[in-house]
Amino acid sequence: MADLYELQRAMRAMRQSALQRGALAILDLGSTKIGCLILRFDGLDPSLASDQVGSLAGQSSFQVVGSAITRSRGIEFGEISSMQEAERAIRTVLQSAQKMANLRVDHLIACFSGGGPRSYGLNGVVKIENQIVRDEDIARVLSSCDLPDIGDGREILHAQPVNFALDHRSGLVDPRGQIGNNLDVDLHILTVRAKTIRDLAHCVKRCDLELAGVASAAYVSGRSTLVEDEQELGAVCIDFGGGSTSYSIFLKKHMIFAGSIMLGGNHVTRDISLGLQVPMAVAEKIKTKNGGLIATGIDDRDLIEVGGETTGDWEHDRRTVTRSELIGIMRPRIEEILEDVRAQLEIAGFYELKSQKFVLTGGTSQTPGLDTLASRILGQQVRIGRPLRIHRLPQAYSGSSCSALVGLALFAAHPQDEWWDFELPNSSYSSRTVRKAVRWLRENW
Amino acid sequence: MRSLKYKLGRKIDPAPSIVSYRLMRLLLSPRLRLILTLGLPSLFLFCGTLVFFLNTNIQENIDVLKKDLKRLIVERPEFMIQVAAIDGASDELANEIREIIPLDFPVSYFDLDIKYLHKVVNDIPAVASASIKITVSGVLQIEVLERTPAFIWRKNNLMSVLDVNGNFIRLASSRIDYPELPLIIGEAANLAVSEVSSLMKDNRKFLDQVRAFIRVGERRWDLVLDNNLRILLPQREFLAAFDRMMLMNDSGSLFSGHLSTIDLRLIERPTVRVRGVSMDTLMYNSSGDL
Repeated sequence: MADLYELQRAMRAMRQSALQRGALAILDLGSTKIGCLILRFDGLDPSLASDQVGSLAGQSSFQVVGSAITRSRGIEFGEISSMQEAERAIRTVLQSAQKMANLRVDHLIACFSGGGPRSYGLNGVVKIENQIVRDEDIARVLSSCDLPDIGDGREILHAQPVNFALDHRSGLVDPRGQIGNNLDVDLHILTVRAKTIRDLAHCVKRCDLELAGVASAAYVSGRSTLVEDEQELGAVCIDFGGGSTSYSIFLKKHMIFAGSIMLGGNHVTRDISLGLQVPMAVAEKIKTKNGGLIATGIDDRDLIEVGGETTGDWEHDRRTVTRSELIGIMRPRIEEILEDVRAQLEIAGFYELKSQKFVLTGGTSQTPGLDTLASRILGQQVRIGRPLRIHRLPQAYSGSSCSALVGLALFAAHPQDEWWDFELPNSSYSSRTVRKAVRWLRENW
Repeated sequence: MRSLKYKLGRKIDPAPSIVSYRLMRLLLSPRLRLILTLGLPSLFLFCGTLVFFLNTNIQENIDVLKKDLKRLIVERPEFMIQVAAIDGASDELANEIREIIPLDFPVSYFDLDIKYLHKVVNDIPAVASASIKITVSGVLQIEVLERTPAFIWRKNNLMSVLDVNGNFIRLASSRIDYPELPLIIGEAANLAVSEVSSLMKDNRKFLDQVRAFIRVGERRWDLVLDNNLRILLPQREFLAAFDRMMLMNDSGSLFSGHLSTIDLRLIERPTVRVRGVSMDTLMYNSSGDL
């Protein structure tokens, strides 16, 4: 636990130095594409530097100077499966983005959706000594949470205090300075497999960059697609990726739950490839050009040239298929994904929230008819989410497939408080420091 | 399993190699970029100019080239002056001018120093004033106002030709070259030629007999007639004295040859000196007017 604390603190410090230097790279490791943005921080405009959120929802302090997207290689289900391939893909985007920016960056923040994210809600109580809540009290209450068994070889990716309560007065955002006896905290922890982070760190290191932070793709896409009141009142952001579908529930501007299922747009493509007996590339093309989820009468007469590899057999090469058939292949898989998501959301207790809003984003959310289908399976209020606009973002990156990328930029510029942003309370390391000092004295005298 | 190590043919990989990636990052580092884009070119430029200026050979070549280029422009036929035309001067003076102007025709307009030329021509004594211009057809037009000879002045066995104001025109080799000019003799005689002119104005006919005007003591004139009669004029009012003498001569015989001197210096008491040989004639003619 302490190791992780130190590691995360080190990354946070690196991020601070990167912000001071003024350049930061953003990397989204997806199963279908890898995207990279180079951000330049020109310093916050003094007129915007207030505790209020500034103009453009507070992102005007940075701008995108370089951007690149490449087809992802060596990544499956949102995590690295082949190190060399993934490293090459990362190098490709990093090079083209840095060339475009004409700027050399040394720090990188990455996000990924894989690693089997698991959410835990933690609770900690502590007694206030001087009746007034201070910084160290918050640190104490955060470290008083007893960590559940998160499993072997797993690491905490996010640990965010979601809610503070002071003597049964709940819903406090910032309890500092208030008077009370018992401070109570709700801490949300997201864990992923440690191997995923290690692989990512290794790949980044091979590209001569330093990893200055990692984030969950579900969390960052929620940050970029959910509007402010949705984050406040309660909504779920479902990111339909290529290899996995991840979701994150937001309430009171905090992520309170996140998870992912190992199904995505690539499975739809695979189904089309199997069903129509065409290569994956052709299936992908048919899916993006003619795909749909709601069949109408005219779709029975809408013939699609299947194409595919030329075998010389005319009957085979000139096959056609109606759009209805294509929809018949795609729809069960999408329904399966949506039902899985619904099942997970039910487990998380999302359906007990008062506001049940669903925001669909990610590349697969561009499938026509997905919102209609989702409103039948998930709930009434469904919309397709596009990422927030940030300064100088290229038009090609403003689609819903880049919401994690944009969200990560927002995350880099305006991080939410996490557990490791607070100093560890004295009690947890005082003995170790004293022992260190004694050993140092003994060694030197 | 597909072979991971051995691949046939050239693999198609859009990813940059690790070397090229590192090189790109190296080149993007600010300091190196500054050195490469600003430092090295300026260093090369500096070295180049240094080598250039230190090498005298190159400089000489450049000088030659510059001169050649200049000649190319200067010696275009449009700028060349082929001939000098001298107007308003006698042949003698024209030849003198031609000799004295420091030009070898054809000469370029750019090599011509008109001011100097003007000075040179004006410095010729026979030239009263000169104007020099270049016509479009490439002719150096020299227009000269020549001084006309008015007197011949002998001093220390040197004969000089003077104009009407007493300015020196040229030396004369002999009196015979200018038989029609009155001869004046004496120190600083050239400074008082205006007096001679005023004498000559009304008595042109009489003055044909005058052999010379002699300046005496730089203050008054003697006239010597062709029969060796010497007329001594006073310093002041010599015109009146002369007129009076001419009145005395109305009867005619005053200059006939008996007298050797007529002294008019005291205007109220003119004096004559009679030649020894002619005393007889005088006595013989004692009833005369004198």
